[in-house]
Formats: sequence, structure tokens, C-alpha cells
Amino acid sequence: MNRRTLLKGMVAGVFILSPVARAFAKELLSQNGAIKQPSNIHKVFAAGPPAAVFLYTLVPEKLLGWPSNMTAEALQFIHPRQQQLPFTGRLAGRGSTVSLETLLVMAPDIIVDVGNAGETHRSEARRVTAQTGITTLQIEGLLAATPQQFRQAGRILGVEPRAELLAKYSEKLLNRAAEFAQTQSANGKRRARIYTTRSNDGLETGLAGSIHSEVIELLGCHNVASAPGHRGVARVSLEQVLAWQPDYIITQDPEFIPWVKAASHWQSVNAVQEDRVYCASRLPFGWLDGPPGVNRLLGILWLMALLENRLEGEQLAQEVAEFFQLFYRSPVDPGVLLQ
Amino acid sequence: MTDNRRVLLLLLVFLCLVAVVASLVVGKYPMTLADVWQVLIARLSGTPQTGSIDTVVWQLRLPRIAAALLVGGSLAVAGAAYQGMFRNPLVSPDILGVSAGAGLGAITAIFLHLPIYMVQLFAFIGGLTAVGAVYALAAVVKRHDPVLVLVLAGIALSTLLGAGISLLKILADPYTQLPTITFWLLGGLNNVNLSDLAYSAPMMLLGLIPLVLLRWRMNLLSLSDDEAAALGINFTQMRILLILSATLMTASAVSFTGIIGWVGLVIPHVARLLVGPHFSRLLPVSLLLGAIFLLLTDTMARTVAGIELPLGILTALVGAPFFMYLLARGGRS
Repeated sequence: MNRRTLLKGMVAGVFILSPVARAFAKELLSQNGAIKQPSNIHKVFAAGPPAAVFLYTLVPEKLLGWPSNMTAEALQFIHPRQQQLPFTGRLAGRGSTVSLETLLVMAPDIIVDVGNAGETHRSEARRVTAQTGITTLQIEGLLAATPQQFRQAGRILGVEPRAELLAKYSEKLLNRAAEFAQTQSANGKRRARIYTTRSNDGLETGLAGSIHSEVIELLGCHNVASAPGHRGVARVSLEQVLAWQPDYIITQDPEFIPWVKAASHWQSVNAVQEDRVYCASRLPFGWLDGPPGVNRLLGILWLMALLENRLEGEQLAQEVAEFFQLFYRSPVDPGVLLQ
Repeated sequence: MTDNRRVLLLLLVFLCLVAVVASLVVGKYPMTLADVWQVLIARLSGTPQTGSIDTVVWQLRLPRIAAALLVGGSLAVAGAAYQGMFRNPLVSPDILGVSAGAGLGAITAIFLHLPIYMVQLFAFIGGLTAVGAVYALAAVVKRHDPVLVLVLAGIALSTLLGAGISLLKILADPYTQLPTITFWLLGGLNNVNLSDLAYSAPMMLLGLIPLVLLRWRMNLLSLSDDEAAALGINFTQMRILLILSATLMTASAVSFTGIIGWVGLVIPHVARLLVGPHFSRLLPVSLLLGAIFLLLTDTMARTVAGIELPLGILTALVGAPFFMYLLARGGRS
């Protein structure tokens, strides 16, 4: 070992130890157990809904089943072959609805989980591998890292061409989002202030900085619901919404719009009075959120169109159709979802 | 002694008014005391102002304050009545399964993606049905002490319904429905509006009337059934009436607030520490204490953090230490 490599090593060593570097190098993938040769991976188990969306888009033919109940409404947009997949339950520690024995009967070659996993999740995955011998793979679920997720998982699962196709598309879309975000903040324009609601009374919201708010933040918009120190889902009061006076209210529940228009106490919210309450589709998976998976790429397309005032235009219809074709291989025209 | 009690009641009424005023002027929407006053006067004099401040005061803060007072008072009174009737200090208004029934009803509605008024309706019906089932169950059993059987049947059915709730939680969509369910079970007053009050307030008051009228006879409930029979009192009728009123109050409260624990269990104890066990004195003090307590905790819930804190957490967080303090003090004197 000569002096230069030693020096490099030392610098690298210090860098690796620093918290900044650890945050940077936060591995997108973490695994337990040995991963088989790609050609030997035939059955993949999705641990939760975000993983199911991810695997359905990437390796549909290897997906063992759906971890949550798929409604008939959602299934019509799914490729006929995967429409028939059984409900397999999800694997999430105490919240699991699949037993380890059932898992052994299904005998997946690998279990894939997507999401932002904490130590609890990681240790549970280790335990599953220890008990069943099935390899578990966890993928960090940030929307911004979608291209890397596809590429790295594609390599492991032996579907590199398809992964590259999806990664390229995501990359292009994310770049568009970044450009859009720049124009949002440029030339002195005020960033769009958005409030999203998740419940039928309109008072449950995904806070800024949480996985539920990623689409909004990627597009450089301002999620009014921010509470320092809190990330995740919270309830707020209508008084708080009034104080925020968001430019747009966005929901994924179609029944919310007629309800809120009729609710007298919501009329002081400017966005309600001026008809700026919009509903994104939740089919086959939520466009903006729910589950927090690659399905949210659609939310980027939709929200950009909303902010540019072209929700009804031909461009969005085309882009959505393209997405459904490429990602969901949908047998049905998604045009209905835009009405 | 009578004078002391009168002073205490006056003091509580005064405290209640102070709490109402305080909670009317604080909140997330920025406004001054003068704004609040103007908006109040404007609407009272028949020329309502338009704008956000009017909405905040009349449609949000006032209904919410009224709801806190009503729900807190109802839960505390129902708890006091039940503790007397069941001769048990650990009994709370949901001992006969009303919360579990309401919970299962509400969560079923959330699970089925039903709109908000259906969630409330399901909760209300669920609460009544659960108590009805418990009563029917207890009526079948003849050989044991009827009060004991009621409590045991209540606990058994609550457990069963609780299992149903857990099952639905497991089956619900973890990203959209599960948070809603969790928030419902933690309780809160943040979506109260005038129409909620329009249906629940009359029912809560309706439940209160028999208790007020019967306040002198309530003490007899601490006798055993045989002793009461010797005195010529029909306990069964009185018990039915009592359960009916307490259930009506609790179910209508829970249906639009979600499950708020602790108030019905502990406020009656605090009241008892202040005025002793006689029900005619316990009732007004419990009512006022419950109302003040819930109003104060709800005001905290909507002001201390950027987001709403679930009321169920705050009532325990504030109430438990206060109660322990009272216990310790009572023990010494």
C-alpha cells in the first residue's frame, strides 16, 4: 500500500464516519440473506402496497399476489393477467396479515419491501429471513429516487431492459418537475399554496415534509400544513385552514367536493368559494398518495396540469394514457379518470 | 355547610364563564379581542358581518365551545350516575359497551368509505345497540346479582366489539383509512359544527332530565335490591331509566366526538372529593366540572401545537396527574 492510497483511505474513512456522508450514502437497497441469480428468481412477494405497485410495474409476471384487497374499480385498470392474482396479505411485523407459514407455502424467491424503513422495520425483515430463510430486500421509497430504485431492483430481479425503460421515463418526468419547481420560484412569483385532505370531513392532512406530501414539494409548491417537528398524518381544525387560506384544496375522495361545497362552515375558505377544490383520482392506485409508491408519478403530471390550468386539455389526457400504457399496461382507457 | 356549597357552585359557574371567554378569544385564526366582540355584537343585533372572522367565531369556536361543555358535562354526569348505580368507583359511562359499539359502528362506516353523517349515524346506532344487547343479555340471566351481571355482560360485549374494531383496522387500507380510524378512536372536537349540535344537544339534554328529576332517589341505589324491595321501590324500572338516560347522553356525545376517555371516570371522583357522595350535590358539581375540564383541554388541543392534538390523549395527560394530586391531598387531611 503506497502513501497515496493510504491518504485516500484516511480521507475516505473520515468522510464515511461523518453524519453527512452517512445520510448521502444511505443505501437505497438493504438486504438480508443471499440473493439468488436473477435467472433463478421466479416468484416475488410484495411486503406492502407500495412494493406491490413497484413490482407490478417492474416485474408483473413474477408478482405472487396483492398485499391488500384490490377493489373491482381498481382492478379494471390492471393488466388482465394480474387481475387474477390472489390477495396474499402484507408483511409488516405485528401488522402482518400473512403468516410466515403461508409465506413458506408460497415459497417466494425474494420478499421486496418499498418505503422509508426505520430500524423496527429492518430488524423485522432480518427476523423473517432468519426464521424462513427467504431473502428480504428493502428499497428506500423516496419518489425522487424512483429511477435508481428501478435500475437497482431491475438488476437484482433480472429485468434490466424494462427497468431501464421505466427509469428513463421517471428521470424525464422528475427533471420536468424540477424545471417546473424552478419556474415556480422564479420571476418573483408566489409559490402555489396547497392544502391536501385525506378524510371525508376535510380535516385530516399529510404534513409538509412527509411521504404524503412529496409530489407537492417536488413541484416546488408550498404545503400549507406544516408543523415543525411533526411529519406524517395529522388532524387540523377548520380555523387553522381558514388562517392558512390555501390557493388550492386537493382531495382524492370524489365525494368530498359536493360535500364541502354544501357545508356552510367551509364557505369562508377562499378556495372553496372560488371553486378551487380539486380531486385527483385514486385508481388504480392513488395519484398523489396512498400508497406512497411510484404511482405518485401520475400525481406529478396531474398537479402540473392543474397549476398550469390545463386539466381538461389534450396534453394531460395523452400523458396519462402514456403512463397507464407504460407502467400499468392498462387494458382500459384512463380518460374516464380525468373527468 | 349549605353556604359553602353555594359558594362552590357559584365559583364553578364563574370559572366556566371565564373558560368560555378565554377559549373564545384564543385560536389559530389571528384576531383581536375587539374583533371577536364586534362580530358577536353584530350578529346579536341582527346585522351579521360577512367574512372569515364571523365564520370563525360563530361557526367554529362557539359550536366547539358549546360541544365541549355539553359533552364534558354529559360524560361526567353519566359517569357519576353509573358509579352510584353499579356501586363501583371504577365504572365509567362506557361500562355497558356504548363506546365499543359506537366505535365499531363508526369504523365500519369509515371502512365502507361512507360520508361523515353516516359515520355519526352508525356510531350512534352502534352505541345504542351495544347497550341494548348488554341489557337483554343480563335480563336473561336470573340467578345472579343483576348489577354484577350487567357489568360483566358489558365487559364481555365490549371485548367482543373491540375485537371487531381490531379486525377492521387490520383489513383497512393502511395508508388512507387506518389513520382516519385511529384519529376517530382518539376522539376530538375539531370537526364539530352547528348541525352536529342541532341533533346531539337535544338528546344529551333529554338524557339529563331524568337524572336531574331523580337526583334525590339516586342515593337509594346503593342499597341492595332486597332492601329496596322492602322499602317498596321498583329498582328495575329506575335502573332502566337510568341506563337509558346515561346511554343517550354518552352515545350522542361519542357519535360526533369519537371516544373521549377519562372524563366520565375521574370527574365524578373529583366532585365527590369536593362535595361528598350525595347525588343531589354530586350532579351539579360533576356537570360543571366536566364541562370546564373538557373545555379547557379542548382549548389546549387546538392551541398548543401547530396541529390538533387528539383530545383523548390530552384528557389523560392533564387529568391523571391532577387526579393523583387530589388523591394524595385527600389522603393526608
